[in-house]
Amino acid sequence: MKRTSLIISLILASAFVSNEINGQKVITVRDKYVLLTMPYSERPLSLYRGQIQASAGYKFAVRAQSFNKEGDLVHLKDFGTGSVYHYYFGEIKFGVTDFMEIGAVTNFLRRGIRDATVTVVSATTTATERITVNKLTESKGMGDIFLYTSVRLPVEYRWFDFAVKGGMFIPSARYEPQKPANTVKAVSLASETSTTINLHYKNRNGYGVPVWLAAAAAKFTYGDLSVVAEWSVRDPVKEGQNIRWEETLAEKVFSYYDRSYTYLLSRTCTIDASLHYQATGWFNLSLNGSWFRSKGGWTEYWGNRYENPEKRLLNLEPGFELQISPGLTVYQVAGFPVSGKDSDAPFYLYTTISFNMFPFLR
Amino acid sequence: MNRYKSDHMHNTSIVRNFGSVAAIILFLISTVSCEKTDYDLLDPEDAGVWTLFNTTDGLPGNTVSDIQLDKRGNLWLTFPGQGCAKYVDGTWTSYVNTNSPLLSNTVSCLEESADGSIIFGTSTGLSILSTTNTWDSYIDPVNTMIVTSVKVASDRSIWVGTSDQGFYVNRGLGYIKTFTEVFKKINVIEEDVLGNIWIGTDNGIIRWNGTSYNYLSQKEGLPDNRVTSIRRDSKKRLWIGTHGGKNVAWIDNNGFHDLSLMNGKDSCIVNDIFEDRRGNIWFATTDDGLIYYDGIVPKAFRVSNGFPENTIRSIGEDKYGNLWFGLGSKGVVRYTLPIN
Repeated sequence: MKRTSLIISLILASAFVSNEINGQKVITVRDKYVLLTMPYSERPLSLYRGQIQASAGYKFAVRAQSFNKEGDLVHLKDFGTGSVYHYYFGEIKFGVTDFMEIGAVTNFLRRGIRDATVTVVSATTTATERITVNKLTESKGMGDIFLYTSVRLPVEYRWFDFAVKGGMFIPSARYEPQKPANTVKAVSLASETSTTINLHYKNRNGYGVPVWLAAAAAKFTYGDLSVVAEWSVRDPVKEGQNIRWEETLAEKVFSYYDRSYTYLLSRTCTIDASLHYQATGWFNLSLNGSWFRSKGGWTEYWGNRYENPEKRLLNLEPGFELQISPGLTVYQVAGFPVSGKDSDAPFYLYTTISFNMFPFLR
Repeated sequence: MNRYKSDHMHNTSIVRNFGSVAAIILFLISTVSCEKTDYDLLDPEDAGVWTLFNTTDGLPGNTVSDIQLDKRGNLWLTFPGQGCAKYVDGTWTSYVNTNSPLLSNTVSCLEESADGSIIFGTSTGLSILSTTNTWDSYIDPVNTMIVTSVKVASDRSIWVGTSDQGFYVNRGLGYIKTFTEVFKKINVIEEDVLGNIWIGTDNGIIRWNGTSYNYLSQKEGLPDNRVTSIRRDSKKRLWIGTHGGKNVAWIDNNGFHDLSLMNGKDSCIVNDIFEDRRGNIWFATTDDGLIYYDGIVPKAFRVSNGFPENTIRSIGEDKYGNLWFGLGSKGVVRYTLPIN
């Protein structure tokens, strides 16, 4: 009897241990439909095993104001430098197990900042010279590719989840600025010479060096409410090198010279804290507070290394998640800058369409 | 039902505790992780700042005729009538003929020789301060040698211009005088990238190519024959400023080019020209302020927009890349280049 009891106890214990080791408990009904229609409040922080999620996003930002070094809001319209920018991103991730996923992200940026026109006039007794300078600084191009792995707690999600994430931005983008495409047009009428100079600087996207990222996230759910806190830090692996273009105008022709410089990117830290309300099974409302800070690092200017100015920005982001079909979800977020330091403060709309599937699961 | 409530409350308490602990951990992690070791870096707040120094700050005088940086990082300034001074890390050291063997307190220019000695051009000849702090001098035994400019060429030869005795050249065997009545007043001497010596006079430019001299005047493209400043830049151009020309000129492989300084006048007096590390060209003028050219359009700093004085006599650079502007009567201004 004792022996039988011992065997039964061992079997039960091994089952318990096995369950712990195997990780998340098996969901009773685990078909594609159940997993894909899981409301946000019931989902874990990473994908399920075998799940593939492909997302595409578009962010439209209106850069009408910024925060200066003192943290005061500056209306860029007053300086004639307001602009918009377009940011596209694509992500694909895959659930390797129920508690581990891998993914890749990249982006494309398009942005133009047009400075206020500057006119210099020199009138003498014999002639008048007028030079008008228009300046457009454009940033355009593919960003780096971010490869990552995320691991969450190896238990079934009920009311608490915790995940850590690590990855690297691979410098795949051509980050060196292109040669400027400046033009000049001069008109001479009797004793008056009028010259219009259009400066067109062409920056690219990307870090230029590998940048690692470490992140952690926690999620708590109580009924239809969920609270999610996320923290991340990213830092360059090494110093980078880039070029700056200079130009000289002689007889309506520009000559260009490039000079190299070194830099060390700032360490960037972000914290997001969001409150989610699961209004129905297919609709989730959220309010996110997103805080960003970059500090440290340096940039070489003309032979000297200057510390990068500290930048901070706090955005408030109301948004929603709408499940259109089991495989298709739309996310919409609006960003409102609240406070910051030495940073652009754009208002933005961020739309993401996410397609989910289980290609290996019936 | 009671049991459910109890579990529920228990869960709520755990959630609250977990939430608090997680928030504190996140805050601590983020605070620590966002800090990064600072290197020996310059403060961006210092960039773009103007600082005025005058006699109240320890300068021997308020008129600065020349500014030069030596290889050891010392910044030297000359003051007509008040000798010269050395600036090292915030400290001024003055040299006059009462505390040193300086030939005269009327020092108009200086240059560092190949061996590191500092050659001062004075109203009576050359005073030379060696790296071991011993003084030497050279005086023309026949004529008064009022030195206006000194240039040490890449072949180590020393070229000395005077106000009415032409110029002297020392190629290691002593100073040999070259005098022509037409070119007796020398204002400036510069060397181009090919090693040619350009001598700016009141009657155009004399150019020495290593074997012979030739001459450039308004006929060839100079804005005026009274050449007051010549400066070579990093792009292999030679900038030429004059007394009275409407524009400044620069010479490259394609010949002469004109640049209007946009000063609203038909003439301009350019006392000195300098290229900063960023590639901007700076012009020190009489009455037209300090003008800088970023390669596209010249812009001026004058009294009307906050600069201390409209006459600038000299421009130099310290070991940190700060620009120093010697004023006509109000001292010297230090300017840290902006970083944007």
